[in-house]
Amino acid sequence: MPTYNIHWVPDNTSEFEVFGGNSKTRTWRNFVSSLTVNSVPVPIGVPGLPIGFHTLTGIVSINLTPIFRNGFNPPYGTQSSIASGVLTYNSPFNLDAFTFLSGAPFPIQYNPNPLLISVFYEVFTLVGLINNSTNSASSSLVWSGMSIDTNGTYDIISSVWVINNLTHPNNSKLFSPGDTVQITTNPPPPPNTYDFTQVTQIRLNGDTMIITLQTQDEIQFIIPPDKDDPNPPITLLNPASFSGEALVGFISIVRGAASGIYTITPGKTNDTLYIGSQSGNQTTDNKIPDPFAKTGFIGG
Amino acid sequence: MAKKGFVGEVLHFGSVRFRVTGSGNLRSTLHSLDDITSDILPNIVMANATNTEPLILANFTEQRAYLEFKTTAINETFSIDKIVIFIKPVATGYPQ
Repeated sequence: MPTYNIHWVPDNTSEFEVFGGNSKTRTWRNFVSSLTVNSVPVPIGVPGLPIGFHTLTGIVSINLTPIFRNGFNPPYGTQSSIASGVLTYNSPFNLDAFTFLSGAPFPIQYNPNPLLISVFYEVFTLVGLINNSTNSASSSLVWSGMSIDTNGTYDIISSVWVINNLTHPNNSKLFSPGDTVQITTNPPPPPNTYDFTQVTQIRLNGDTMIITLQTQDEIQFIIPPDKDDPNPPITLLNPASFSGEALVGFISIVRGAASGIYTITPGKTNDTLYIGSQSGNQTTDNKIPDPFAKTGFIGG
Repeated sequence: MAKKGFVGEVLHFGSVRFRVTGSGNLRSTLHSLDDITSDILPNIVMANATNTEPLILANFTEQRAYLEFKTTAINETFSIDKIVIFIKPVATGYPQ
């Protein structure tokens, strides 16, 4: 069982900023961090990034250096109360993939992709304390110099999620309503971590889909006939893992051309054809192919 | 006495005149038997109403020919209600 020493340092300009009170907004800036595991750099923002760590032993500590810009009201409004800025988590603990898809008030952010590690989300647990403060609409707090530095044993969850079209296998990401979407994970993750049996919902652009098959490494659903979003994201919900909701990827939905009966319209000077598109059925007016008239032969 | 028709003479198609209304450009062409040869006539810019029947010159010599009208762009229409084709025999027939 490998041991870990995670050392995660953001760049010098990275900051988390929190505005409490009525606005309760949160922002972060330039959080491009470096991450090493056992002194080996882990690439971030490129394919191959482990989508999460599952710590088996040890305590994960997240260290923050707070910088007050304005005061907060008690009990969280004094610098000393959160000056340490330390979050600790006992193993087992998931440092999960996280895509900022958890919804308001978190901004929706898909980049960088593949997924960042969800320590952000855990940080916001602390932010939540600030959120409970009162009468501090104008207060703000900035953390900088956040780092994770801890030791223990770990599993690297490095499964890759793949979207397939079971109805039309040749169209890996081009779907039509009624097609079966298959999401696989390879290799299957350890049970009770990221495996698909833990998934509680599949969402297609926010709409909950009916799961038709769910195993440890495979999950399926059918695109409803009325789904007309051209490029919806697929997200998986797992309250116990990947920070609640994780982005699997985007697909393209193409609606088929409508069938029907041609009708003769007096005075119409072109042919109106229905065409399939990603935004539903559309029509296009085409010219009638060179309408002509001929006389009989002259001469004998 | 009925006028005698043509029987195998070689005819010169010198011009055509017709009344046409519509929109767009009317394209007209004289074609020989089996469309082996043809003579493309000048286009006519059509109007929904007109008081003229222009004479369109042609220069086509064949034993038998027919006149074709057509439009090639979307939403062009034409309506023809009179066609006059001027011909003159120039030879009694083709020798073997």
